[in-house]
Amino acid sequence: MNKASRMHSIKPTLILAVIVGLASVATALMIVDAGAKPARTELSAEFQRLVGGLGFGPALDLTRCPNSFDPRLDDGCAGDLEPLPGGARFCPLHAGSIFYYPPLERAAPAGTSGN
Amino acid sequence: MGRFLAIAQTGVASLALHPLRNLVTAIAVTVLLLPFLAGLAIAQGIEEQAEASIRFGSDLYVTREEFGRNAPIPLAALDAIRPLEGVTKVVPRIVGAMTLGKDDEPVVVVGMPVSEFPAEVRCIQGRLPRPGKPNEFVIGTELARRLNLKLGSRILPFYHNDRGESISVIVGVFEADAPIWQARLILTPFETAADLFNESGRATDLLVWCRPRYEEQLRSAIRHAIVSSRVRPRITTRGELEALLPRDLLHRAGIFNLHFVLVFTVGILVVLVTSGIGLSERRREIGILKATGWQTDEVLLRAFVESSLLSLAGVSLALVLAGIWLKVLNGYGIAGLFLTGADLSPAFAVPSRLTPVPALLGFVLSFALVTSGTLYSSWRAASATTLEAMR
Repeated sequence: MNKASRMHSIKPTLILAVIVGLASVATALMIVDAGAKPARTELSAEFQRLVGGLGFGPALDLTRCPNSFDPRLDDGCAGDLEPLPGGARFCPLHAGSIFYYPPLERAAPAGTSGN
Repeated sequence: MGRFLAIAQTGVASLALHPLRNLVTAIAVTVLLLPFLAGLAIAQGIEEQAEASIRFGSDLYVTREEFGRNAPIPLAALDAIRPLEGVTKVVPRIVGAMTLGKDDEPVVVVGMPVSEFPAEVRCIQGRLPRPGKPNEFVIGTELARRLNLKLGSRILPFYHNDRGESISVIVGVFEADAPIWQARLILTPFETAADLFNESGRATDLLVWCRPRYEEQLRSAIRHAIVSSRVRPRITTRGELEALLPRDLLHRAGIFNLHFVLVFTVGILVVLVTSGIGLSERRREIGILKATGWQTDEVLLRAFVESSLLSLAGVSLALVLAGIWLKVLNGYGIAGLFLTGADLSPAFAVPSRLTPVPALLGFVLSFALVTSGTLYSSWRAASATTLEAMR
């Protein structure tokens, strides 16, 4: 078998090896990431015990939409009330958010008349 | 089985026959999938931290309602809540917004009683703050970077208080690996936070811990205990917060998914062009195979194996690159798109989780993309007569 035909027969094996290698690395990444979860959870737990449970959404401050920082701080989008009523529709923290959640659905207080 | 494997092997060999075309297809799939997988990984990272926020927070959050919005609650409500059956602990908290620095950097001020602080913490470089003068703060990493603050830095009075203002000292900085909401946080004793906001006798909310399964009973009890003409209580339970968490992968509204539906639709057109629909080369190749005795189903199996391997290559490469982008480069350039207020290179660890479900979804999407280019053209050519295919 000459060099050219040897190369020809090795190429598919090489390509398959590269693809399988890539898939293995991707799988290993997911396994390693899952393994790091307990350490992440411990750090999160310490922080949350310190601040009493704070933070939930993709906002890092309270300027635009406190609800997107933490729904415990405000019901719904602040933009819905000011500066223009109904402004929740163009709040960037909802319309373009990768981590969207609806306003809190609170249970009706006992003794109030329902529908 | 042996025949099946032999045909599958030719599918692998066919990848080597058109290296440039297959490389371009795999790269196109990777480019399409990379931002999608990175975005989903960040969303799942935030979700993981949000779950911890619920799990390690209190059982109930009590505040007041005014004009349909949250309002501060008098500290007198503590005495009404503490004796209720099932209550194990009630803690007042202040959470408010301020600005700091010449550029008015937004800041989240959190005031907690020092009695709630543990003796040691690992999520802070430095130590926890103590009450008294000067004010002592633990600040977040983003704030520290933007205002050029570090341990021991002093801040001139930036607030107004009727009883006078004081210099503030940084006694701690949160670790970058702590949850993202530390980024612009100032943690300080409850009394100091009250001074910053020129408040006394009020908290933004009361944190209530209770015995298991007492949440609903306590919700009514607290409401009856503190309701009056001036106080309309608003109570949030842990269960209500858990209901907000998006439970399934596709339950994410917003324009993120819509954008990627458009991207994948355009992607199909790109891959159709690069995969050879209408190219005579593939038709001739299949014509030769048919002339040598290959059946239509064997040709399709060969194309199926080729498409599967290309899809696997594309999604694996996208996953590896997403991992590098998020874990090594800390989401450079992409974090700011999903986390409002984050810089191009955030000062905190961008949360991300690489999980199998998005990877599987990515594989299905990439397979649909690649197959639309290869399988259809292969079937058209395989179904034609040998002479027509070789023309």
